Amino acid sequence: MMFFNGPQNLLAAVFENGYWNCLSSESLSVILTGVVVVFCMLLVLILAIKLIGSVFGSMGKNAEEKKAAKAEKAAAKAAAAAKKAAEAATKAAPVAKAAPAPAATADQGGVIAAISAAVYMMLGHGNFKIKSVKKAEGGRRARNAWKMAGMQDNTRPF
Amino acid sequence: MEVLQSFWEALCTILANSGFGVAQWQNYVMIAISCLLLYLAIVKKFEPLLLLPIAFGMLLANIPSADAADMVYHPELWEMLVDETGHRYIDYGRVLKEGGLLDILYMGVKLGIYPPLIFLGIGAMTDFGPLIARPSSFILGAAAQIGIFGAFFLALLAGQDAASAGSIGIIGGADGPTAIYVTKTLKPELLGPIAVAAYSYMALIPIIQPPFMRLLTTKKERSVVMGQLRSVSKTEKVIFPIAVTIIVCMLVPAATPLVGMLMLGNLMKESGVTERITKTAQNELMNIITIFLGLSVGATTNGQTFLTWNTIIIVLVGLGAFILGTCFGILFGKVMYVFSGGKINPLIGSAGVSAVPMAARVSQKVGQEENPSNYLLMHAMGPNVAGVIGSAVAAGVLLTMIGH
Repeated sequence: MMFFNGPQNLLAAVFENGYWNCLSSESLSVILTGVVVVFCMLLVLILAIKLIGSVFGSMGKNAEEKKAAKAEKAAAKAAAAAKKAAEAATKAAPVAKAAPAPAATADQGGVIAAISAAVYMMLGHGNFKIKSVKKAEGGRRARNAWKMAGMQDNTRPF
Repeated sequence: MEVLQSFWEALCTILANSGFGVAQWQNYVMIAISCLLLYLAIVKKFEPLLLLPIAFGMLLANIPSADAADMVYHPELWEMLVDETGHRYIDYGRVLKEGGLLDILYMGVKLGIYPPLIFLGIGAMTDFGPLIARPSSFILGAAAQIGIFGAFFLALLAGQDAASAGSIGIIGGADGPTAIYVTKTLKPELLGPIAVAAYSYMALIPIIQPPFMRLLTTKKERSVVMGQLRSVSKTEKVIFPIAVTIIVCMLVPAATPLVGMLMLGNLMKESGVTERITKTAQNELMNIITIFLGLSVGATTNGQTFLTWNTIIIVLVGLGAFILGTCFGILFGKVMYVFSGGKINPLIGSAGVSAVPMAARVSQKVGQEENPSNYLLMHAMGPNVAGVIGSAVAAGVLLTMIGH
């Protein structure tokens, strides 16, 4: 049990008592081979994944681009149809012109309602007034609040 | 008076035949250790899913009885026999005939059935997306495996033979099933201490790793916020397990049971066409095997065979292996930090040891201590799952070079 008597004795044991011999050939080749094989294997896997990523990633991108192009075409068609319908409606009754505006306000109203609900949940009572809603200016490292919420949601199971 | 006399004799006989009558000091020490582990699992919540069954198995195996038939585990049944040709074997017929409950469950460990099934469940639960998105994570997974071979070297210095050194070294992979799989082939006699050391260190990762992570990194490095990973297509996720199986199993066939099952589980998950069996692999099968494995591993810690100097050497060198793996992972993380122009946080290197997801969780925790808005978890999952593959490959190398 001279191994526990300090580093000098450990080295002495290794070199003088012949332990170095048991390390010299097969055992050292296990260490060398092991490290080299593990690194080579994982390097091969890196290359394979990069190859798969470049082939199937670009295929995926092409498919996405095609989908986006299709969606754009469909949107253009819908817009054209809407324009026609709006023109027809304008001719029929000029009041209908204001119709798209409430949609935009309804969106903003939804956001304000969500913010109000969040504030209510945090405070626990309804004695507050929201005077204005401004987008927060984050520092350079700050994340978008939605991204932050998504990330917290994804990492919570771990 | 005669009635009282026989009553007293009966009491004495019951006491003499009870566990209290035949227990030796080693049994009491192991019972105390099992209670400590139960405390850590229940109160401190250190990986309770693993630690609780292991600790209870330890408790059950150390409750002796005067009548061997009453015991749940019999170490003597697992002693290796030698036939006339010098071949070493275990008499499984005798185990089936005379074994207790935990002997029967332990057959799954000895025959190498549980570890690959655990890998099937891990594969079905793992998202390799972060690794596919940043393949360079494989380097960190490989770096952490140097700990295995470093500990192999240390074990040889401590006077162990190559088979024992390989079994001890694999503790550095921080992967319980892999450690069991390698040890049952290389040195079955050491299965108990090695499995307990491997699982205990996995449970104690939140205590062992952070001091070395802080020691080897600067505040600036720990504060690095890493960029968002690219999105990975479903096709890539489906092809990944097939490609890894073909490449790894062709090059290191000894790793096939572990890597093959890991990738099968992952393919089941990513293909999206086997929802029922995927759920079974993730939940019921995984839970059942965890109970069986934990209990039977705990049962191997019978005081008389467990409390030896060899166990202390295994525990110390195993700890060294674990620390070496962590340190090499972080050092390679620092190299990647330099080469990436400061975009990679070296803390994710410590997750290269394959304890999923505990090691990644520790990277996240230490990173958040410097910058509370920093989320390293998904970035650390890349090296973490790469470590699982890396340790399986390292196991394959050890089995090929020492086991055959």
